[in-house]
Amino acid sequence: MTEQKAPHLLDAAPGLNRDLDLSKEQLDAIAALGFRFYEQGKNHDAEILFEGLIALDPNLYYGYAGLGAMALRDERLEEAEDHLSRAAALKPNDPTVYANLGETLLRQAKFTEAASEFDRSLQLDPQKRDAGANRARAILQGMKSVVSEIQRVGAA
Amino acid sequence: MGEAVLSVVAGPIISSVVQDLLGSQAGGAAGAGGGPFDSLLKNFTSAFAGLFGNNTSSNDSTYSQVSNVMPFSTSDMSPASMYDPMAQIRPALNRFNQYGQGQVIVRDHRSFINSGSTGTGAAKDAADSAKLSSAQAKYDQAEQYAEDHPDDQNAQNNAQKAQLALQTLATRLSDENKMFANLALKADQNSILQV
Repeated sequence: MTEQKAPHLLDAAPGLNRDLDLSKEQLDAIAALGFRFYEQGKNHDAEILFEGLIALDPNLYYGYAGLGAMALRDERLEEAEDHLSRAAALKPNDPTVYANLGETLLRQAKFTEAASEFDRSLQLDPQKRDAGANRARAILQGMKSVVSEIQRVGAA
Repeated sequence: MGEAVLSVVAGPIISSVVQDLLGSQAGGAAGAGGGPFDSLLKNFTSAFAGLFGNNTSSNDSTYSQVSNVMPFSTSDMSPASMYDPMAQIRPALNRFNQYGQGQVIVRDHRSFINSGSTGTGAAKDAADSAKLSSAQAKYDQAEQYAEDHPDDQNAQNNAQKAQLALQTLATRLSDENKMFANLALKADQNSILQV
């Protein structure tokens, strides 16, 4: 046994989809169902689907993005950061993922990193149509109002 | 209009964010020239100054969405996947069933992990699945080599990595199994088609 064999061993674990050979459309459909369950408040079902997607293809970002959103919503922030960072690394052009990651970092008072992720989200959605990016815009606007009010009261 | 509406819509979110921020500073050291909150505010305004510009949405219809954390953008998904997902998934469910619903695979694999950890009988307890047999054979190799070379630290490390890889595989098989079982259940109930 040599050192070179270890990576091959670890490679044996991911990518179970190579046995089932699901198409992109089928994987998208599973992700869409997870999304729908989440929207309906069927969180246990959504979590099962997102975890299953990771099992099928760890290089697909939907599962991490979904679990990250659920963790953010439940304010499990460290877990959310881990999932969302993975999602962002796998899919560098989804504005919603960056918005969620920015919010996760903001809630942890990691301001510089949060601002960077929010900025990416907004730049990826110049048309201001993406729901996740628009949540980031709302947070920014809300925080701006809070800061302005604090400064106004402080100056009075 | 846009800015005012966004501020109102974001109210509950901002309240929650501020609570988290204050919680993150609880017990923290005071910043220079002020308390923890002053320092927090200063750091925040410094980091976000560049984003406090014209970043509000021009589309008021999107405001109702911002109260929810969205999982991901669906803009890259095919319409068929979005609007009739079960039609896409049914062939995958059938295919999954051809693999014995995965339950046998996972059960046998766990049995293998348990026996494999003792270094005895691992191959004999192997699951029938082709996708496991490859990993099992490799684990067997690593385990055997480690036993034959007790002074070789790399061999010991590789054997440990092999076992971790198999445990990871078992977890993923279990997750995959749960996912398809869940989908099959929902397909039977037909509830999945209800939005």
